[in-house]
Amino acid sequence: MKRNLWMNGKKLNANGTCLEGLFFLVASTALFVYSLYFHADSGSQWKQSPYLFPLVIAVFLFLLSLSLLREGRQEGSANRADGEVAQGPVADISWKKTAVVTLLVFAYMQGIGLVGFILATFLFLVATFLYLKERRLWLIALLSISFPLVVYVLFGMLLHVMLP
Amino acid sequence: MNEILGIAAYMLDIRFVLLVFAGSVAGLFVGAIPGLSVSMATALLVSITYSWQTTDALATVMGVYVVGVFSGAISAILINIPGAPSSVVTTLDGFPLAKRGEAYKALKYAIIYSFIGTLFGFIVLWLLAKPISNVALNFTPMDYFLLALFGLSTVGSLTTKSFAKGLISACLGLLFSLVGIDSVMGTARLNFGIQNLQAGINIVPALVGLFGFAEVLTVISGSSMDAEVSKVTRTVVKTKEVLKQFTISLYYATIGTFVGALPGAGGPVAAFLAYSEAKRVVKHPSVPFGEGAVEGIVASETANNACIGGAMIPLLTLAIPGDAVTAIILSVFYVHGLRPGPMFIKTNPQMFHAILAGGFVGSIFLLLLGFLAAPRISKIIAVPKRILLPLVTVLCVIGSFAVNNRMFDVGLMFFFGILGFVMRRREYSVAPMTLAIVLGGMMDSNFRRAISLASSEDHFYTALFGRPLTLTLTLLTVLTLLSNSKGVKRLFCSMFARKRA
Repeated sequence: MKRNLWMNGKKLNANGTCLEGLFFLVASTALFVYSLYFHADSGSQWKQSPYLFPLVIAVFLFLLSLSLLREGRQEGSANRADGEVAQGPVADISWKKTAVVTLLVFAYMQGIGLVGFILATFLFLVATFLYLKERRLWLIALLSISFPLVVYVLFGMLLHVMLP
Repeated sequence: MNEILGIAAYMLDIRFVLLVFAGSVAGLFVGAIPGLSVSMATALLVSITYSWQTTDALATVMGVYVVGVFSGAISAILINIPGAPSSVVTTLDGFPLAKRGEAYKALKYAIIYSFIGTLFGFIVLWLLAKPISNVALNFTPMDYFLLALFGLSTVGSLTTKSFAKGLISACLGLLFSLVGIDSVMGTARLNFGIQNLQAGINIVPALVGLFGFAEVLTVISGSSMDAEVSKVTRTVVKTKEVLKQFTISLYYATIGTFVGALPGAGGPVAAFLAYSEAKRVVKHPSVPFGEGAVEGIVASETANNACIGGAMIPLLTLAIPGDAVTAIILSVFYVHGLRPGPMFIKTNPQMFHAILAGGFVGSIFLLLLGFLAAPRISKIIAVPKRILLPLVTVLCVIGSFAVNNRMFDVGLMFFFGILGFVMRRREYSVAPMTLAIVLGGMMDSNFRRAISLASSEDHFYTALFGRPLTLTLTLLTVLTLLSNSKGVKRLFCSMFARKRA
């Protein structure tokens, strides 16, 4: 019977490796087809073709994905032999925290275009500090106000670095 | 004589020295604070120093590199968390010594032998760079391609548990490096109709994402964001006593420089090798290894710092970076319009002098900052990550924007950050990808040039692989690939088992 991909919300390492192998197998095949198709379209000889190297990489990637699939299967059978469920490297991750911070950074990037660098940075810092459970409000206020200004003066005015 | 004068001119230039100092101070903090890394700082610096003079940029980067590699030992000793991967071995003896109330002693050994290791590495770089450049002048396009391939395969094998994952990371990096207009035919490829990708993926946002934003996400996703710091009490540790290890440290420095010069190996491997050699050679350590033996700190710190000079040898003479940081340093050269390689030292002697001077001045600052600031840095190491990481994220955004002044690059940084995070979590090292992004363009053009040249000859394969150097590089690459193949390993194991039986 096919084993569950998910157990207590955590992905199994062996299955993860197999899925990655499968992903790269499909990706390498797509790259192979892409290289052949666009090479034919370019009308150049293979020795000069811009698609020669991508084609070589596609072949390598295909072989490596087979190797990864094999690794995944071996890990899976070793787990079955041990009668244990091996936790993958994803086991001790706080996914919620990572996802929220990623979204905050995404919103920050969009916010720069809408309200400008200084205000967007201020808002991003306040939101992130609060989300990461910094409770000293005076410190949040101090850093969120002073950091964008220091960056503006140091990078923008002294080091002549263009700011977003 | 001219070389000595050239190096001395930089070492006496106040502006140059101040920039190395600024880099050294930055290196001290980023190396010591777990969660920040030398690679991250160097990647950010590439974007900040984009508009600077090349020597100014090099001075700052060398300061960060030299002191940053050392200062990983500070957190390794004080909180048992290595600030840099190359300081992992230092925790084995450094932290037990600190737990016994001898943190200052551990720091003093780390400072002095990091200084000796750095100096040794740069002297070797000075002596060997020219002879190696002369050999490299005979390299053909195929040799360059094979050398880069050898570098990628060794990085792939040394940085991850799974060789296949290491090589997949390299393949993805190569693909990213090919995005945009091809340098030979001028055709746009792999940009999938996205206009902003026509000029290719800029190295800087990719590196800032892979090392900066990915690091932020990795630390945030972890369970613990704070650490307990050992107290540093000043005790009397006689320098004469410390220097008793000097002779053996030269052996560790030789190991470090040699390993550093191998593409892909880098500080962690050098430190492990030197530590295992110390265990073999030193019959009567002060206390057993792993329980606070200063001999262990000497081996690890001398070797990982000697790696810096070693890693610069293939970078400057062959344009093949030894590890992630030197790959980023290579991009410093590229963004300033310089092309390292066999002719680099001849055509740009002043840059070579600047690098050597940066290394020497950096090692002096290592000594000064190590003694003056390292014992007092414990409070800064303990800065909560919830304060530090949002500020680093803002710097990543600024760093990726600064190169081309476009928000698209910030988006690229965001993409590479998430990619780097997922890769780390799934145990794919980002080091092979970094190297591949930097080397991909060179590999592509040399590969096609080699194929073109060989196809005009009568014997294609002889023209491609017939030269002794090409044959040696091919054999080395094939051996690296085969020796990491599980099937080949199993075959050898069964052969040995049969012989023994």
